[in-house]
Amino acid sequence: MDKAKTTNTHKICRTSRVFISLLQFLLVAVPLIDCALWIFMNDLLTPIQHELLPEYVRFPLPPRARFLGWCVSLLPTALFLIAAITLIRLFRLYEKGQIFSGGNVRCFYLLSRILMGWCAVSIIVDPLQSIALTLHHPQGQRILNFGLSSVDLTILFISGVFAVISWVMEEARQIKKEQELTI
Amino acid sequence: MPIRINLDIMLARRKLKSNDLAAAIGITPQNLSILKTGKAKAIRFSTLDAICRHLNCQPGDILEYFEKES
Repeated sequence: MDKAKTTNTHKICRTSRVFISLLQFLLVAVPLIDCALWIFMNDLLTPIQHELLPEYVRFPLPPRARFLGWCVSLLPTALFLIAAITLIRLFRLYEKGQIFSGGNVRCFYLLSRILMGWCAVSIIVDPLQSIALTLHHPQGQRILNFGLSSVDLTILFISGVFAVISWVMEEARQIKKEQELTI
Repeated sequence: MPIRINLDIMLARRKLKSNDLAAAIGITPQNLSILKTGKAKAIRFSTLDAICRHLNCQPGDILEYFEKES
């Protein structure tokens, strides 16, 4: 039993270190790639342009449209960064061997809130981006696009799951605390 | 909590130190301190058995129930 526990703890520690490294890389890479994409949007291959942006967007995008598009993209990017920082905090706790601490509970709670925020931001970003990217179109051809996709609903569902996990982790924390005070 | 731990009294009667008792019954001095200061939530029968055997006393000598004043 002790050997199995040590092996499990070692696996958690080792895997957590891998995830921390990956998340730290993404913390730097994602904002940089986001900036680079908007700067060089007009130079990308047409299939890639249509993959990244909606089909109603006309290329080449003027600098103002690209700047506004980048500003709008900051909303989901900021949420992603907050989520990555929270995950790094969570995996650091796992790396130290803290599985059922108050810090772990707070991380799961925060992640559920971030996912809910992500859903809300997705609803806002679509119309803002459609305005930003079609402002340079002739009058009568500018677009206001808004809607809710299945991806947004999936994220909302997952945020609910994370909320429940945070409550379960709080229960586990209290059980662990009682166990520590059982002599 | 309405259960009082009178371990200090028994240790004084038997002229024993906390660290010696902890080492004898196989728990850490910190855990024994948790027990003595009343912060413990529960005690295992095995621990109670070891304490009573080492101090040559009854569980009632260590554990005392008192009514909490409302």
